[in-house]
Amino acid sequence: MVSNEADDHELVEACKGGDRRAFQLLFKRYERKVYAVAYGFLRNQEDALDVTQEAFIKVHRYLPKFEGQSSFYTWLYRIVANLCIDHLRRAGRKKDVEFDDKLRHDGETDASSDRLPAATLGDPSKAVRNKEILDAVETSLGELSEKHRMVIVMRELQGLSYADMAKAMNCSKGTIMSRLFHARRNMQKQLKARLEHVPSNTEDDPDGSSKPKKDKAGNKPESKSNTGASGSVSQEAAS
Amino acid sequence: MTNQVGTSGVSRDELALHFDGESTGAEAHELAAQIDADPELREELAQLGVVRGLVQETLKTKAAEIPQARFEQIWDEIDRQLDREAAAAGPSAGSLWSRVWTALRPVRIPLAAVAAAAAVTLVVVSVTDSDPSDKGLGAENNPGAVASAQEHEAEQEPETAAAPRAESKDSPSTPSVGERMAVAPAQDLPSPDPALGSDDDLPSPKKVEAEIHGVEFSGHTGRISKTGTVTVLYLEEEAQPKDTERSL
Repeated sequence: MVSNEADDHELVEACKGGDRRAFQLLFKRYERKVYAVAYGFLRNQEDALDVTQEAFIKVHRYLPKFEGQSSFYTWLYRIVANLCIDHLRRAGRKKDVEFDDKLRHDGETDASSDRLPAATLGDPSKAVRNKEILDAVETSLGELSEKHRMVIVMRELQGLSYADMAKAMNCSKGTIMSRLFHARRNMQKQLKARLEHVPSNTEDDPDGSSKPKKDKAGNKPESKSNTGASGSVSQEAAS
Repeated sequence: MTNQVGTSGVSRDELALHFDGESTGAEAHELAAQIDADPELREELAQLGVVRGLVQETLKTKAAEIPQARFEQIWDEIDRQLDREAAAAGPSAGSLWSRVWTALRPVRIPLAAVAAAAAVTLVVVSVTDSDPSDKGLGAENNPGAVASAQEHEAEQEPETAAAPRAESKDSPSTPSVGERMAVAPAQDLPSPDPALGSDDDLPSPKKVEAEIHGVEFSGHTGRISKTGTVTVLYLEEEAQPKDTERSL
């Protein structure tokens, strides 16, 4: 019997031998991660839970064919992404893409005008303890077109490569790059619009109970003043 | 070209490739050096990092809001579904046995009944053969069958006592099948011996008419009782390994 501390590979091998408990351990290990991905795609709790269930049933069914060429979680996330895409197609929840994916972004306006507000800088795990920021990110994700939201979730949460994303979305790598660029720009715009009035002292006010603050002159905080903090976020996220 | 970040000469595509770990080799090293030297590139990279961090943390937070009991409920659903799939696949999917098992599906119950009748015959033969006064069904005529039946009966006897649930479910007064099968010539059969009512008296050398009160083959157990005494034969399919452990 495999131990609770067994790595994914050991659990997968045990599952292939018919060990249902090993499969339960895999489920427990990834249940919330899978849900988070599904929720990112679908933005509906029950739909995301349904996909979570469906994903693990599918994983169990196809586990004998899993050869371990990629990591288990990459394989699992690909299954989840495909199920979510199928789910969206079945539901017919189409939303116009705000940018033509074929367009390059040579003619875009200066991205520096969409710099994120200071409140979002620093440690993101602390930032989202502010309910206003959490809600703003969730709403901003929801405002994206489905294709943009998909690439954001696949890249930022699942960490899929451009090639894997292109395969999942049945398009070229160039299209993925373009979608990702626009999706990130849109997220920045949405967040800026929603959060520019939020103060940057989220560490002092983790529950977001304080009201938006302005200085005596009524000026809003400038994100440029927190360049140092944003630099540390960049290193952490990029790693 | 506004796709470039400031005056760096680095395009946003290149920066995104670097940020996403898609640039490799010398190109990646060169870009890293340029980013180190240019605050504007660092700021642009930082913005990408902020979006990533916020998306990750927001979705993690949303996932953390789901009660653990909800995931346990989902696991139960998955577990049941896997059981259903295993049952539908048969004892060992893809094997010769599996194909035979599937092909026999329409006649499984009749076959089970015939097998049960044969088993009863063996039991009756063994019972009657041990009676020295019985000439027709002597051990010399079929010693192997008798030995087999006696062993079988000896094995099954403790099972009788160990299966009170089955006894109570199908009492003799309400047979679920009610099919009467003659297992010996009727003219040779004496009346049931009242002394055979107790298991302590078994084996009894009396010939009696066997009556099937219930065979539940598809439910993995079968039961055959004999008037005046009780002989329980359990017919079991090879059980699928099951692990329905509820929690870890």
